[in-house]
Amino acid sequence: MYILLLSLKMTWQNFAAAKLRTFLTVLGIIIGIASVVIVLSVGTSAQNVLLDQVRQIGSNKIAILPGASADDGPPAIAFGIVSTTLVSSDVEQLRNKNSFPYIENVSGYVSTSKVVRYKKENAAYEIQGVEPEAVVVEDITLSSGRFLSDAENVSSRRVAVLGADVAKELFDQKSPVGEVIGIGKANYRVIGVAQRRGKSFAGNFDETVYIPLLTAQRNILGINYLSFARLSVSDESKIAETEDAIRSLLKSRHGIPQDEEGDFSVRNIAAAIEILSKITNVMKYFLVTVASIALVVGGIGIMNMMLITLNKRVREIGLRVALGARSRDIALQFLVESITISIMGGAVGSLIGYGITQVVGIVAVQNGINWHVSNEIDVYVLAFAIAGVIGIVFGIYPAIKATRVSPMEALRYE
Amino acid sequence: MTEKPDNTSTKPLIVCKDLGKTFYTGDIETHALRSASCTIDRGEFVSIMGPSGSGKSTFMHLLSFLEEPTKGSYHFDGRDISTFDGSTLAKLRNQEIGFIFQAFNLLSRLSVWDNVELPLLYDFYTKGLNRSKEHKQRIKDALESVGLSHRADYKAQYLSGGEKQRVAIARALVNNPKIIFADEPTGNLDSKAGLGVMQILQELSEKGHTIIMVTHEHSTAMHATRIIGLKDGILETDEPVENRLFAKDEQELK
Repeated sequence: MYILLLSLKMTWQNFAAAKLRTFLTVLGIIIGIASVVIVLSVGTSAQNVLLDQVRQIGSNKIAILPGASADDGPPAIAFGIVSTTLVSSDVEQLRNKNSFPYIENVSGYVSTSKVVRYKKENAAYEIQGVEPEAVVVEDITLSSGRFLSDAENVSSRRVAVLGADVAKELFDQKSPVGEVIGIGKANYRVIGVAQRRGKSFAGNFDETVYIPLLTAQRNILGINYLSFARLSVSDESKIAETEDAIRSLLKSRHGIPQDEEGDFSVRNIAAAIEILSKITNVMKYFLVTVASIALVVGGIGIMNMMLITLNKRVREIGLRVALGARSRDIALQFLVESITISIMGGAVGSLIGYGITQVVGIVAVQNGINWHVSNEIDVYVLAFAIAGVIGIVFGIYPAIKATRVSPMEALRYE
Repeated sequence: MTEKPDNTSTKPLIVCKDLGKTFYTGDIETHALRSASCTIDRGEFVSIMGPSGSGKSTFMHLLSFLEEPTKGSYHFDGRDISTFDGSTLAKLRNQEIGFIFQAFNLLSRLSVWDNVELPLLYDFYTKGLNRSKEHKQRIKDALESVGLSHRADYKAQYLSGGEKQRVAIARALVNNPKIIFADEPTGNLDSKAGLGVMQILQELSEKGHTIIMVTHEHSTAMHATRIIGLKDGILETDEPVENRLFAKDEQELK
């Protein structure tokens, strides 16, 4: 214990005598530790934002996408492949309560992008053709007016429900309900405005214009197939069962043998969360690895400084040996020095990392992102552990070298 | 002033027989010291003389446990040092020996006080509650004995050469050693400062301290009571000093 305190005292004397050199060496570790802390904390927060958005959609949701895909790979749509195999009559079958007792609501979707005009205002928005059930499937709440009705869909009426931002950008303070807007070449009557929901990785609900599915298919796109379908189930534990039933139905409807792969993909949100977690974890740990390189560089900085000062301090080592220092005292002095440097770097780096993490959180929240600062203590424990290990690993060689100094050579040295 | 050394034991302090040291660098053998035999008693002030390359520094390093001999025997205070391991030798250096070097070897970044404290930092052997109090008193006494109490807080690098060597002497005294080794203590000093150092060494000698001083200058060696002469690694002469010089009577160190 005394020897440790003694080494700390000598370390302090050495640092006080070479403030700039010590600071620069510590800086390497500070940067490395701060990077690791920031990447881990911010990474975790970002991951949670992403996953929260997916969870927001609801874990009782199932999506049916046209085109085959591996279960854990991206759907065909992601590659720009337009598949025409999913049609409204497929979706109609899912409404049969006898075959699908757990399906609550289901809607077919088409989506496109069009310029929407109101008087002199105009901008491009996402146009989604949906069935009335979409209001439940998508958890849409209306701030004014009402959602699309069955009658409007069946008779392909030109009516529209606006996302919150669409309404604000085109109408500003004015109430849009009852006004007429232009979508493409035709006029549509606004019947409702959806409440603000915020951005999501799945798209921006607030910048979407909902119109009846048939209207979109016939009047805008001129197609008879669906971009995708979404449905909600009443019991989350029945998701797998329901998915299997959907696959079976669609295969038989599309004339595909049951033991072959379908020309569609059925996905649920739970599976999507899992895939997304995997992908984001890989990215997070990749970034941590990159940040760790900074730490290794910092460690090399320590070793470099220790070796350079070792040469400068040969005489000092010789003197200390002459005055009664044992080999282990010399080794300990050097080891304590390198560990002190890296622990100091670890402490300051953690503080800076913590600070930057908080600032990132504040900025994110100000930008309307639902960000929760991740303050996992594990991250800081890990940072300190890494700092300590680096101090030992990069300090051991100089420490051993210091004990090999011959006092006679050292003291003779002019 | 520092306490007087314990000279009550009747055993000679140093007995070495046919002591030798050979260095090996690759295939090359260097016989730094071929053969040295002598006995040094408590309270003696011995000069080791010889031209450079005569092996006098090696001899001193062997006597002060900084190097281990490759031949011969060395008994210190009745103990055969060839049986000691590194830690025990470190303890001997710390507890029973004081060093004074030609180049002072102070840690220039540290204060005078901290420099004098150095040997006490490696004193793992004194136990007891009064340890740190006792250490403080020893540092005070050592600084007083070389007349540098007023410089305790100065950084070593701002001292003059003579003052530096006096700090080094204080450092050598602080652990109340049985023997003080001085390696060319006046080599880096002007004659006046050198004389001051010799005066302190002679005062210490009068108080009963055993001193072994390496020098290549005859006039410096003449301040001792006995001169051991080395040539080509062999201890050739060993004579008492006639017409000894006393630093307090001189104007400058010749």
